[in-house]
Amino acid sequence: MTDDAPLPNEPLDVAGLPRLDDDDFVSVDPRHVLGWLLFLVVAAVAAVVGGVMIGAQTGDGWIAIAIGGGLAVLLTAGAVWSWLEALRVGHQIRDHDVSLRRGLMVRTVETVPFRRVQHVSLTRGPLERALGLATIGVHSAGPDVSIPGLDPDDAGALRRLIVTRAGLADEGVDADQNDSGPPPVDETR
Amino acid sequence: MSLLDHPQRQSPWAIVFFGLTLVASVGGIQLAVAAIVFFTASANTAVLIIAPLVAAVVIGAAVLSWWRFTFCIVGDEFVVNSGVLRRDRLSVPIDRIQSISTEQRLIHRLVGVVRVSLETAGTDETEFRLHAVERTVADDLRHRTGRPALRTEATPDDPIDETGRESPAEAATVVLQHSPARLLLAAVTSWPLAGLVALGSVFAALGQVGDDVPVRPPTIDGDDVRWWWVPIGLLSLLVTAVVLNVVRIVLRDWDHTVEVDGQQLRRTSGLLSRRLDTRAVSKVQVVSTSQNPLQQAVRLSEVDLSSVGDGGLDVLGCDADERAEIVRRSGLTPTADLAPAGRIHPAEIWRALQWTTSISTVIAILAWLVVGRWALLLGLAIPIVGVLRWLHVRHFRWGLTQDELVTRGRVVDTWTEQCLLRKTNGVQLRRTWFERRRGLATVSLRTASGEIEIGMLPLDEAMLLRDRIAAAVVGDDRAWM
Repeated sequence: MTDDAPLPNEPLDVAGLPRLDDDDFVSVDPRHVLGWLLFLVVAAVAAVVGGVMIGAQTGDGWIAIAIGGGLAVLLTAGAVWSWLEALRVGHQIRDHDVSLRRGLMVRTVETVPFRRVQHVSLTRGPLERALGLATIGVHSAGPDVSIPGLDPDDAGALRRLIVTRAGLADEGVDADQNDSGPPPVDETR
Repeated sequence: MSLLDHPQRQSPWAIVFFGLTLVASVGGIQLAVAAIVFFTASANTAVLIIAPLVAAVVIGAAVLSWWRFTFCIVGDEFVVNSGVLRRDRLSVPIDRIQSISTEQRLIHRLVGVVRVSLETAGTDETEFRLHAVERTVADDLRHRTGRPALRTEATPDDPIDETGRESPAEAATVVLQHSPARLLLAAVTSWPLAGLVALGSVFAALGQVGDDVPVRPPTIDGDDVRWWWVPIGLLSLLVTAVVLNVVRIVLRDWDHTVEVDGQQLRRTSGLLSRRLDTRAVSKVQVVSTSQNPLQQAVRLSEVDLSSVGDGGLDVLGCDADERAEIVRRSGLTPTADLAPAGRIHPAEIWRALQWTTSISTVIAILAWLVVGRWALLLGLAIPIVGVLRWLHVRHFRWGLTQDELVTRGRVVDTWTEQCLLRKTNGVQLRRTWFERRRGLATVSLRTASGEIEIGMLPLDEAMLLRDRIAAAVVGDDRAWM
């Protein structure tokens, strides 16, 4: 590679370039954060109860306190971490792309252009159903973006928006056109 | 009327491959245990009964698998039906087929059939494989899926083109065809990593045999150890690894030929087994080149075309013109015509030193318990990493053109990475705690196969780069794949 030849790098209108502003991200629904906390509180209680039961079996109260207390501290620390991470999650929909902000220690903003979206999924796990939430998955041939903690109505609208912008066929439009199957094998060949 | 309009079976020779696949699926360890039990059994009558029985079951299952495996093209889909006890049907839209590879291993060459592998973007593995089909069927498949054979002049010693093949309408350009001398030079100058791996396997096998041989190995404390055994031993290992690597490359890349016609890129190679890889140029996502110091001395380099589907296409031993032609044919600007000027922040050196110091300290403390003060040698990692990262920061450059993102660098190897902006499937801006404290960020351009990452950029510059890449996707109506 020669260092003398100039890179054909035309000047860009930097001021006119659309910017992805960090202030315009929509934060995750507080119920999503609450869900994480509930899950971890239940797990912490289960750990303490488990520790007490082991202590009762062995007859040594210190073992119960050590196991139950240790697990409870770990899970509490995990709960605080998850809560802080959930607070960081946010999404931003622009005219031509969808972005997801996440991460506490390593902060990441992933942007997927609508033109590159292969399909969109909408999922609701048991906890999400209980809390009235949904998750949208935006899948491309490269990275995938998963937006959690959405109101189901908003998630449905968002899914339709992305599907439309991506130029994908909506659910139910794609019919299997080859159900008839291939013709039978020609045994004489 | 095409052969593939009606369900086809593979060549009867495929029964052999179905049988081998069936045997291999049992697992190496299980087969070894079964063989030991079988041959150490004292009851010869049992051997005489069980052996033919097992063979009959395997052959029967292979024949049934072959009989039940049919393939054809229905409308716009390639349809495969298979399964003995259960019926499986695989339908792949033809426009989703990313590449078709045909291969003739030694056994294929002997019986005049080819193996065909089809790959899609949906999985990193081969979508499905036809173990053995006639050459005409393979050619028909390539034509029907829009990936015709490109070679216009058959090479007499190329068995792939010996059998009946339709004459392609388009003329292909041979970009590269390695002579034995060039191939040998390319093999000798490439890193012998594969040779070292092969050497490890040889040692493992010898170690297993050695357990049964009553030979007294030299001991560290004995008088029969000389210091000069160490350098001679290391040199012998290196030479053996290089020789094994050369043998591997000669077998794999003999008559290495790369042809392009603007839309298709085709590579044929192999001494005992001939392999043909076809890739649509539009499927190429990231183009990488690399040169180790030996390759720099002889002015050869390696090119890797990362394409959607099952891996990329690597081309060994290119000279500067061949490398530029392959890059140009991939729709990119040859790196010799570019001089990217963007640099990364020197904080990268400090970050690497922090990590290395932390990790080597922890490992050294643990190692002290085992080897004592020799553990202090781990401290050498800190200056070594420091120098390597300093070289990286000094030589790394990145540049953005109207259509491309390009990076190049040099530490021990010299390398370049290029990608068309419209191949972008996602762009990521990432900031670690270290980067946030210094107002820096990392940008990754992510494609359907591979990514280009530029770390330690000033935040404003990183955000501008991210937004520029995102805007390029929106503003470019050309197909990305």
